[in-house]
Amino acid sequence: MHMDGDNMKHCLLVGKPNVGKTSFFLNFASYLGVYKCELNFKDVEGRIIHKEYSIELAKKYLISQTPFKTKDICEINLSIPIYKGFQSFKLLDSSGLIDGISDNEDIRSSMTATIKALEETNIILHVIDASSIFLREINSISLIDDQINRYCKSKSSYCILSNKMDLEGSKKGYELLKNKYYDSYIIPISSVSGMGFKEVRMFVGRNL
Amino acid sequence: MKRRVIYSLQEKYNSLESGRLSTNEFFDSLFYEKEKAAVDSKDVNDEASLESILKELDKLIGLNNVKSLVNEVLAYTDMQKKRKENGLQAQPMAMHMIFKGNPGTGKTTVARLLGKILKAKGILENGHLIEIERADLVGEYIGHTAQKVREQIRKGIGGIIFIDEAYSLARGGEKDFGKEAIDALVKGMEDHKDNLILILAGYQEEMDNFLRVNPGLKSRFPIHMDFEDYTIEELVEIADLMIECRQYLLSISAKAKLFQLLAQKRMRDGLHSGNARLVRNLIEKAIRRQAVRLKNRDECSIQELMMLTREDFE
Repeated sequence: MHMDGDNMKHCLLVGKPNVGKTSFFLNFASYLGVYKCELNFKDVEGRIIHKEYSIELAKKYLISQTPFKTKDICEINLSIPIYKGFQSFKLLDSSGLIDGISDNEDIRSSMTATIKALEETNIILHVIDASSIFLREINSISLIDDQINRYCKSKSSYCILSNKMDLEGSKKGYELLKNKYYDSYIIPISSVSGMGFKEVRMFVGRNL
Repeated sequence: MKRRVIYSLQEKYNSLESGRLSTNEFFDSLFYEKEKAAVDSKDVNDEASLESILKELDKLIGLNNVKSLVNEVLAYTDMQKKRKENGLQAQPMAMHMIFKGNPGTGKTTVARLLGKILKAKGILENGHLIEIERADLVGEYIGHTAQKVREQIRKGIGGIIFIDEAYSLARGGEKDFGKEAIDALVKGMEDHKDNLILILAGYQEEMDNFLRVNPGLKSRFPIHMDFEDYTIEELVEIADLMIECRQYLLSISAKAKLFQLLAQKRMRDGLHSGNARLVRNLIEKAIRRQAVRLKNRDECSIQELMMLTREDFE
């Protein structure tokens, strides 16, 4: 199944570093029945590097506790059952966005690539770590989240994924998110346990 | 235009990448541009609507002095804008007005249109009109009046406050609070002179008398406008316009009858005959009578539905 990229809608994961974008990316792909993923890495100059991994290997390779593990935009072709058929779309994983200016040149250019992708993508899933909202860590919610929210709200398909709902303190964080972004659609998910994947699939399906 | 935006966006990406722009600043600049674009497009809308409002004003029968005043004001604001662009001093004009004229000569209509025009021109923020009378301003106990006036002024900011029969404020003698209301009004209009317009309206003689008794007022209202009574010919023209607006037609004999009715009423009631308001009442009555006349018919042609005949007027 190979489709022309232009016809396919793109769905982008954005958020701060270490909120679980990549882990959601891969787990959601495997939830939709992809065992092998062909990852297209798009580097800063726009060249596409094509690699093939099993999901398990990709997880090992791509997910880590250190922030900014994802440097480039990764994309994966997925399909969602709609009515009687399937609709394909491209899920894009991006590097995390932080406030201010990073002193690392690589991080700056990958953030620029993310913001460019934000401009070009139709469906945006904004990942927020609900468990760290009351902590002050690099992945805690901050100004940049407000700005992403404000920027994307005007687009047609935007929703917030309140991630890490399996962790402690995430319930309170989810409540706070519901108050703070009361005019956006928020789905509580956990990329580890698979909670909320169905809702995400339905959301994406509605917007394809 | 579009290309310029993309160009500047690319520039922003570059400075983001090279570390000259923070992510937050990047988004802020996007929001700023979007807001600015929204404001710009609003400006275009306002310009378009200004034209249509002016057309509406132009359609009003007679009122030549009003039309020329509006022209003056528009030219003045354009010039002030140009002066500002060239670094010259530009002063906002105090635009408080006094409208003198009999009932039905178009005072309220003109005030309402003025609000729209000045809003479209950017002189007033909202351009709304609030019509108030003595009871809205004059209080019942000491200190109540100032409070009431302040409240009305607050409501009127960004628009026009229209006080009909303003001389009623001075009625009531020594112990009346009307005087206090006038003082408070004067203070309010001076305080908000660039975003509030006060219009005092009323009969010619009473207004003249009112201004004579309160000499401080006259100088604070630089624009005086007299609304002449309409001639009967003008009233018939107004009738034509009103009927056209309501999608009716007037037969020739009905028109003659209308002329006769207007002349009769003017002879009998003199100045208080109601001018344009009288015309409106006559037409509305005729429309009602036409409805009764056609009520029992099974079928009416479009022509019949629209035509007002002689017997509809009485």
